[in-house]
Amino acid sequence: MVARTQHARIRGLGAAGTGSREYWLIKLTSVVLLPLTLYLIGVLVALRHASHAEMAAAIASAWVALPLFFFILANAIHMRIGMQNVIDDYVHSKGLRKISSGANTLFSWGASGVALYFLLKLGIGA
Amino acid sequence: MADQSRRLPNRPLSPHLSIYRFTWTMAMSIFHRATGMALYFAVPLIAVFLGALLAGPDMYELFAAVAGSWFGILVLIGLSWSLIHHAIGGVRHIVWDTGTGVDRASRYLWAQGTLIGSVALTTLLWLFVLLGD
Repeated sequence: MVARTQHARIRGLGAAGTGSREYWLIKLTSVVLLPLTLYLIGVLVALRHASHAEMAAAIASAWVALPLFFFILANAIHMRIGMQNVIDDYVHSKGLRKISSGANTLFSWGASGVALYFLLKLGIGA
Repeated sequence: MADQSRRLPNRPLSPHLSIYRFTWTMAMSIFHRATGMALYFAVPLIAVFLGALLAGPDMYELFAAVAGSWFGILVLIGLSWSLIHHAIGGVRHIVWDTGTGVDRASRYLWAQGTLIGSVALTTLLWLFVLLGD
């Protein structure tokens, strides 16, 4: 007799142990990131000769700080899932996959967290 | 268990990359991954940029000098192309997700358009940035 429910059985399937949620999140974040990327490239090009004071003022303004805030947030999710796909495809040993998956999560949220912290300090006032 | 190798059937097993013919869609799939990986490792640069800005004029001047050097510009050109290529690739995948553009002619047009479009847009961007100065 099998005590597991159909739901419990299906949840553990797939190389990553997860399924459509990751797919949906990477698509959703990609849709969010597209306009933010175009906008922020424009901002960077416009500010390429800015002095420290000009750049600090521009980044601190809500017009740049908010798009950049959401860019870093959405990108943290997007980059983690993207790298996770690569790890799941190419890292076959279970132990190594666990370690690299953990490192991926730490790197994605670590780099993004530091960037968000600096951005908030610049935006709210250092 | 020791005899298992003798019981392997005499036919190709687990075909891998080397046996496939080159196709545009395959190449753009690889490019999408490669550019995604490049961008992944570039994310700390956002933190470095914001950190330098936060640290004050001296650190920011240093950051701007490195970013504006020939090496910095080369890295920025590579990253901007990766970003644009990955972005067009993302749009292509979302179009394909809807079930449109997956016939032979359309998918090749999309795959080739991704590369041509990303190179063209990156060139335009940097012509504007470098010649506009």
